[in-house]
Amino acid sequence: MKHERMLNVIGQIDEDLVFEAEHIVPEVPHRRPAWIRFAAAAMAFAFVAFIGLRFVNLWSPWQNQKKNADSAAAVAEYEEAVTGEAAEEEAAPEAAEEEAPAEFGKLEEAVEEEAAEEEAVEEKSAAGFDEENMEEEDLAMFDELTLYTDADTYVYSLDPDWVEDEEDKLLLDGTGQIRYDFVYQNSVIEDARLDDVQLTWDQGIIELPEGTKEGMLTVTVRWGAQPEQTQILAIPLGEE
Amino acid sequence: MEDEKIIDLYWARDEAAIHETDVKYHHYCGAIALRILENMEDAEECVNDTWLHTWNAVPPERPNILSVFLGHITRNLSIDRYRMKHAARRRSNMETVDLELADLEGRYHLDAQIEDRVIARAISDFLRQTDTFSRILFVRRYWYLESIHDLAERYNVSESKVKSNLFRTRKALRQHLLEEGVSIA
Repeated sequence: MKHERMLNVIGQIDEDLVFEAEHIVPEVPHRRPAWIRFAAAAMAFAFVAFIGLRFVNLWSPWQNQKKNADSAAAVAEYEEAVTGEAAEEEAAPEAAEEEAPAEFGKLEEAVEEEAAEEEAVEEKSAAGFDEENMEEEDLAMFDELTLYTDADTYVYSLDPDWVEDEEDKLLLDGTGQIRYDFVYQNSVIEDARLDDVQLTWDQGIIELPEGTKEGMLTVTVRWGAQPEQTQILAIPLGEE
Repeated sequence: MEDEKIIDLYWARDEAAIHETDVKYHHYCGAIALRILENMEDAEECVNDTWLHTWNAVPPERPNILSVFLGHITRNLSIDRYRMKHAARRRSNMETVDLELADLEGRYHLDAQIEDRVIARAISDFLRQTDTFSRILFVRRYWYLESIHDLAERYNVSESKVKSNLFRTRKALRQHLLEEGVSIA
């Protein structure tokens, strides 16, 4: 059928339909107002973005709130946890022994996981001070620097209120090296000098000048981003 | 003057009928003719021809709805005039309508005895089943031959909405005609 004919046929449709089209204004099925569509789209985008960021662990507002909590509370919580664990161990040593075989597998897994985590943290520490990933709990704690040789081990607290015994020397072992370690692994050595001589340090080892037998080791340690989270330790060195 | 009285004048063969019709329906018929012909002079001629055709047709006919009766005559006269004048094709509103209706072209093989009126009845039945907006849009587009742009402005909707609505209606109409027993060529 030719479309010209169809046009003619449509010209013969019932008169009331033609009349209706001329005289009646239909209710047009309008879409929702633009601002509603825009708001809905924005909300959908925000939701998807939020889910996406949560998925990749980039943004978590409630964790930020947690981080902003009073550091004293965090310390108290930590101490309570430590004392609680100690009390549990004391209260039920036998029960723990009985459960030990059953729990052995889990413990072994936990130890392995812990070791893996420590390894990861060591890598980070070796790479440098990782301020962004540092937890508030760690920042709240005063770190401890452990210096050790084959002849001696000494733990220096980074608490500025801690009074060191200046007479207590760290004994050298003749290798020309002092090994060092931090408890929380988020601290780094920023500077190390023997008297006025600049030293090198890397991977947990401070290199001493050849033939060093004594002197005053000065180590600048940083364990946080704040200015007060830096401390200079003066450590007398000696030989047995 | 009311339509009934105008029709009575025609039946009385009173030439005042033409004057009254012109007063009341000149704009209405002129708009139909102008949409098709897109030329004021041609539209005016078609409107005058409409009055003549009406004078010849009434009586014996007695229109139910005078406006539609007049509009139908104007439409047919305008389409005929358009086709006569446009041997050399050019893109216009009429041509676009033709192209749109080509959706239905060649898909049906109609027996010679099937009258256009029967098909028109099927289309009318179909239109009654559709929603008011789609129905009025269809009639205004293919009976009054209003442009897409004008329809969009008239109902305050986008042109794409008008186009998509008409497309869906034509598609449904094609299905309806098939169901009505019109065999596919």
